[in-house]
Amino acid sequence: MSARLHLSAVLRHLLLIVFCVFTVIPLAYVVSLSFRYFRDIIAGSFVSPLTLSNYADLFQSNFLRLLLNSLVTAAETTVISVLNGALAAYALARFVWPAPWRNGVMGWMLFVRMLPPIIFVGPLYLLARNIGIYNSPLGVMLGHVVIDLPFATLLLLNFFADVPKELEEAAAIDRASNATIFFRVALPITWSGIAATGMLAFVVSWNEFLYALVLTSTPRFRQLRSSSLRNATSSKGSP
Amino acid sequence: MGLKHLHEMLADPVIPAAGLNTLYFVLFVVPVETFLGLALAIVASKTHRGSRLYRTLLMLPALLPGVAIGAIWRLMYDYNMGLIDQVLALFHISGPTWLADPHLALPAIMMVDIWHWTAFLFLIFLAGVEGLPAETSGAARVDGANEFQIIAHIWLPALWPTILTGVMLRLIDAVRVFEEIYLMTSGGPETSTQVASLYIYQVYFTQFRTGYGGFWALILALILSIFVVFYLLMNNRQLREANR
Repeated sequence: MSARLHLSAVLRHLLLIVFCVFTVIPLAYVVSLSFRYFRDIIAGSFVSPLTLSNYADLFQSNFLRLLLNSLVTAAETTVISVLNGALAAYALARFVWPAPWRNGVMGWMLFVRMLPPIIFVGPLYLLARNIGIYNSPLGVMLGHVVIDLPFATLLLLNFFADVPKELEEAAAIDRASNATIFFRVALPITWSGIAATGMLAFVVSWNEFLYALVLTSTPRFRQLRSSSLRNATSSKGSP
Repeated sequence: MGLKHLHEMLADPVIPAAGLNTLYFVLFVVPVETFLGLALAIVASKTHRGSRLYRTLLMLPALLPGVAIGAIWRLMYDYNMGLIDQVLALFHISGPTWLADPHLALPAIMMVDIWHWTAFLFLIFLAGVEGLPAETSGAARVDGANEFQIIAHIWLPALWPTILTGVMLRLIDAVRVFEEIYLMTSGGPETSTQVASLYIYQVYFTQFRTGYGGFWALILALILSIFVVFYLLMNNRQLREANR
């Protein structure tokens, strides 16, 4: 019995280790590439001198500028989505709506969130061209808001629904307005939920590629597509 | 106007390829990811020593952006500097040019998707497994059930809603696949890795057929909305049952 148990433990660890290796090897390989000279990699030698020159090249290119663009876009998207999402979520969670309205709005937001982003690419592109924000950070940011706003609203809805109603009722008895209740009672209580939502919204915008690709035209993206080594380490391409 | 696009569709040789590839892709990748994710989640939940390290490593790919994964695997598959062909070369095997071979390109991309998204299902299923009550499996063990019986007859039925949710999410999301293919093959060689999202993108932005692209975006939306509505109804029923 104990021998069999022992065997199964060995099998379990073996399975997990095999899969961890499978998961880690591509990442480790790319990291190792980033420290080696191109000629050594092409030669297929596994033991070769290490270098930081790839990183020097990276920072001499406009990588930092691109990084800053990504950060700013993601930050703006997060702020807009979470602010508007919080207002929408609070309204949906607390005010009295006719059931079809409420379910309709929530169902539509879920629906938009689940469809692939390629479906909205055409209209967004034409819209951006027509109102003159094509190829600008503003356009990409608005594109990301399309994805992030329903996402943030739906997440925040759960957090606001968990706020005890009694607290808000107590504030209402003290003649607090709806705005005061929202900013002074509901927001402070759900603060951790809002922070978590903000982080996730940031990551969604940071990882998003298609809208940034479609709503800009500068050749920055072509750098990303070339198979040069640099791109292994700067694999994030944003406006 | 719609009729015009129907004519264009019938004359378009890429459509059958893109449709079939998307179908093959989804039908192969989702079951494999589900099976692997579930197996790893069950095994990981039963393993205590080193479990934190295992979990961290196994969920790593789910955190990376698709662009990064496309770039990484493009290097991995490269004939000259890719790890796979370099290792094969050590054994004096001349490896294939994975992404340039019409028969290998789609499987190679499926492999990347499995690498990426098994991690996501692993996380979902792990949460489900950890949420199972210990009492039922304890009771079954007292009654003389072995580990496999406990997993097959107690865990799997209890996990069923979680599994269904995970599979539906992946079915809907697998159709999104874009960045990886865009970076690795751009749909080639010929049309061997052409899929729905990528083809719509190309119709819009390399063929400049805006109306036709919109037509296909609409058709894709209609097909997917069947799944999305099914998923929403299923979730709704689960919520109501949970509340009762």
